Amino acid sequence: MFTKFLALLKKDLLLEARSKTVLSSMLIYALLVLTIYGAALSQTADNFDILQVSSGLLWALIVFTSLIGLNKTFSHEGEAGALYALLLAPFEKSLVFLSKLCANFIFLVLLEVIVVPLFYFFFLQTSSLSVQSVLLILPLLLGNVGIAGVGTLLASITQRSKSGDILLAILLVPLIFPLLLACVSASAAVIIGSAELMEGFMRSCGIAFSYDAIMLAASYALYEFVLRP
Amino acid sequence: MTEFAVEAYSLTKKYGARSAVKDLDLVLEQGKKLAILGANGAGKSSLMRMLATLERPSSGSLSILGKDAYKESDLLLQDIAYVSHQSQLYLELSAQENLELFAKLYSIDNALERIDELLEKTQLSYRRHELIKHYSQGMKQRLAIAKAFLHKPKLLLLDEPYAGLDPQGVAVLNALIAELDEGVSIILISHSPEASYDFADELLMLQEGEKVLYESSSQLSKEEFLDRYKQAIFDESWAL
Repeated sequence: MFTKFLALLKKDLLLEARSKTVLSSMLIYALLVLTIYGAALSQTADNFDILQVSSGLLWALIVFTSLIGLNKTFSHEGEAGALYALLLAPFEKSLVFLSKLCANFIFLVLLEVIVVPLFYFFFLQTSSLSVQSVLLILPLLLGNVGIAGVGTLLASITQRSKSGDILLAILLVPLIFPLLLACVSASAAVIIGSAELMEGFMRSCGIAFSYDAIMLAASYALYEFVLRP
Repeated sequence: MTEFAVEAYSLTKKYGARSAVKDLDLVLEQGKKLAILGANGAGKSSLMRMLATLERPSSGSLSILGKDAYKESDLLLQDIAYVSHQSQLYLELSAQENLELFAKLYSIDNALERIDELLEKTQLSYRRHELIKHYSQGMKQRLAIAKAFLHKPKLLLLDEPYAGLDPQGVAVLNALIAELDEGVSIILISHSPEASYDFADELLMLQEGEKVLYESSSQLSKEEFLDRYKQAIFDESWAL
């Protein structure tokens, strides 16, 4: 079973390494959003404290950019009917979910490695980087797991629909709302850095972790029914 | 005791209000070859997708190789192969990578040897490391056929496998089919009545989802079959 999972994951990563369809479109979209943020925030009053909204802005960027990538989850399977070949192969179809989840998670991490430092550079220069800033990695990773997991499940459902792109957005945002709130709260605690907010950091991360555990287990269990005719 | 590759009773497939396959009974003994013919839209591919367990019938029962096609589909998949109009391959992978991926998914022993053998037989060895998006349509089809034969299926479902094949590809497919064990059943969709008659033990003709001919080729002369085929296609064309 593990060999089959590795074969599927290797295939997904190899396909992306060659086509670069997911990462390039996510990166271009993220840079455009950063540009729009720059234009929008350039007109704010002098006493406007960007730290108060930066966590929300960062997560809006991540969620919208992730939709671009998630919509392409099955693009290679659709090119020449390779999804049929996967459906006809004798293995647990939940492995497709796990491999696609891992691939989407890796794509999100790679994107954030570029985009989060840019976000800091453009909008958070007033905030001093400290050892505590490293803690931002935790809500980012927890958010990525949840978005990749729920997003992969929903992408599998919507890929057969002609309006799959918009359908995925309509379904994903409400479903990840609790995760989004927890991650925004935990990220704000790190970015603003007040002792009061830091008390809520672990609680928010705990909520995000619980969300991920429940949603991933449910998605894994449901996947066989989602993919099979 | 006779074993059956396919047993379908009152098989119906509806897409909305339209019936693609209507109340079809079909029984094929293991090791026999069946050719399905009919005009475009007659329901051939819908029937084939149901036989491949890729679509559920709207009603009726379907048993493949003695197993319920939907309740026991996991047990069946190891024994079925389906070749369709699409190559069902990853275009950004090479022939070797595609076959290695599916060899792992089918848990094939001595996979590399089997892959070498099939690439040799399909005359694709020399381009095995090239991405298949650079292949011609005929080469993709030959590779799709190699993938279908990879796990030595007991039931081979071929939906117009000759479409897009050049004479070399046709010869490759015919040679692979000729090498199959006697126990392997083949269901072929074709638009060539003469080739179908020569190939198959059983002939099924569909018209608007309904069976208009279902006979053993031994009980029907070639001339009679061709007449009935032309009549069915001609009638349907006029009806349209």
